[in-house]
Amino acid sequence: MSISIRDLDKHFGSFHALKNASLEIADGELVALLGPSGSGKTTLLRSIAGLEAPDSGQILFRGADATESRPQDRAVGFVFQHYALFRHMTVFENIAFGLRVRPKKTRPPEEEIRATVTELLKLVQLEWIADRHPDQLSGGQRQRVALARALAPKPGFLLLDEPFGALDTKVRKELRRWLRQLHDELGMTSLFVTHDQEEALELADKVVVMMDGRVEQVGTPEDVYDNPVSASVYQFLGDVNLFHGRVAEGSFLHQPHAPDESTQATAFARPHELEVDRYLISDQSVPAVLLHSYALGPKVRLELRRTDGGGLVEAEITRDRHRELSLVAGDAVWITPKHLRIFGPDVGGSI
Amino acid sequence: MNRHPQDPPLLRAVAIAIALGFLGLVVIVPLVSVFAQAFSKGVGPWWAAVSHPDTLAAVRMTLIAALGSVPLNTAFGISAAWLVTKHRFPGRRLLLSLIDLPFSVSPVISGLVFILLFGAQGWFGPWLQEHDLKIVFAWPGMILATAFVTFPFVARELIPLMEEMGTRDEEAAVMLGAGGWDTFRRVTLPGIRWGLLYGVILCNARAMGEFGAVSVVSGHIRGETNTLPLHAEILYNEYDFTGAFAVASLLTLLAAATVVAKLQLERKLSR
Repeated sequence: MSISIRDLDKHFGSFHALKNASLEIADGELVALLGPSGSGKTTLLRSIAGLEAPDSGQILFRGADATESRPQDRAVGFVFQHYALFRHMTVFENIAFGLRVRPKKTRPPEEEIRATVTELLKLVQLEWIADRHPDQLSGGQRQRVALARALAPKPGFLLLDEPFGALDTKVRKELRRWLRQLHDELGMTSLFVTHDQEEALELADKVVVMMDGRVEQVGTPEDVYDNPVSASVYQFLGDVNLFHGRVAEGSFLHQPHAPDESTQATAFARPHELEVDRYLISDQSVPAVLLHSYALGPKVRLELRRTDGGGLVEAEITRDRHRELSLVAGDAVWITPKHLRIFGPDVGGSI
Repeated sequence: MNRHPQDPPLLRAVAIAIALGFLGLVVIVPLVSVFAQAFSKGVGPWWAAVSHPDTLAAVRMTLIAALGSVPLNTAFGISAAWLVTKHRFPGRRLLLSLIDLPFSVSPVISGLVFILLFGAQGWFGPWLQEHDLKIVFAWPGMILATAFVTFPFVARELIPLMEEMGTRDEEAAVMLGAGGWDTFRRVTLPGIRWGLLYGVILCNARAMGEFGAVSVVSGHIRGETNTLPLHAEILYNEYDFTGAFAVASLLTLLAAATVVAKLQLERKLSR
């Protein structure tokens, strides 16, 4: 089921939570709403569900206006951040809830409810815990029960609020892969909120980056990661290093203490986009001294301080390269950005 | 349980002695004396006092007042708690403090208010007389006065509970297609059931023991509008000590039943 969101605006008192947010979600897509906390992503999700009423704007489901319809009538499955399982019901009854509360005329008979719930329990691989209560489950199990419960009434699409937020890293990775598989199997349209860029980039077909109540950028994960539209999106999507300078004749000149505001530009490079050498290798190189280094799996992270007054820099190099350089803290090195992304007055692009 | 291992045994012994001594003096001794006085002349006179028509009428009126006011306050308590915890609206704080009003007003004043409203000289007095309706000095007044005095109990019990529950479960139910009534019956109510029962028990205990407010509106019509506490007082003032304490022992048994019910509930709650 496709969703169109048009110019959604929402205030909470004096806080402007959504600023003219617009978004198109096509049938069958798995979309990530990515942004820092307070960026409006959860408000947008709750507005689509009908749990918040926008001040203005329109929400269309399959082209039909649903802005005013009750949440019960929207046929939307919602998985809450902390699952909101009904504590006094067994896992089975939790999943059956959405079927049992149907009006008499459309309520399936008891055998059919049992069959549907059993099928869903099988789908989330939890048949053996049907009779337990939520407080007897692990976080990952609760998450899967919450998902099964949301799927039981056969919703047109699925909304998930920080679905993996409360889980430890290993379970999170497993569930992510499993959710992706489930989404493809069921042919659902799904939208999930996250503040974890890795999660969004790994899981989604389409990433919607939200900043300060606005939809900043919409695109495929690669697109958003490689071509961020603004400095704030770029900074949000991963660790970055800032280089101050100015742009002249198509090339970037490092100027740690920019003398002239008007021509000043800021260039960004991610830690893995920096080359570290013992010697100066190009006019883009800046001098630095190594403060500290630590291994991160197959990579080595270097913390450096620029000796020209440009502040701290983080670089990431391979273990082999680290061995080759045989660096120790206090060594003088040259840092050379392999790739610089420039956002500044009247300029934007990469060199 | 967290106990300080350094606590000197003497200190503990003294603290326990003080607690038990005070409890004995203020609770146990009066309780025992009620029964001692009630049965001082044997079971026969006790039974005579308890089975006296006026006593039976007082039991009936006590039950009417409790059965009339407790359901009213249960309904009011649930809706008030639901309103102030699940919604934000102008006047919310005012409602919260109004709920506590009966706790801070003397029960006698509460009774007087109803006389001023519905008494012969009251605001609605003439209209009520015209239509031959009796509120004051009759059972409707007793229920009203009891309900007024006891109305914070259920609401006060539920508000912190529902505050803590938040609205997540209800939102989950709504997203699964449940309407207002289904959401309340299947999600909200089971979440608050023990707290609700506890509040109802407290409310009931207070309703049966209420003296001040009902004393004003009852008119002390023996065999008609007297409740057990009022009846006990009348008998006592008439120097019928055996009768007074026999009635008091009935009330004490009601209170004991309440305590037992509460203990049972707490055991279930801490399960």
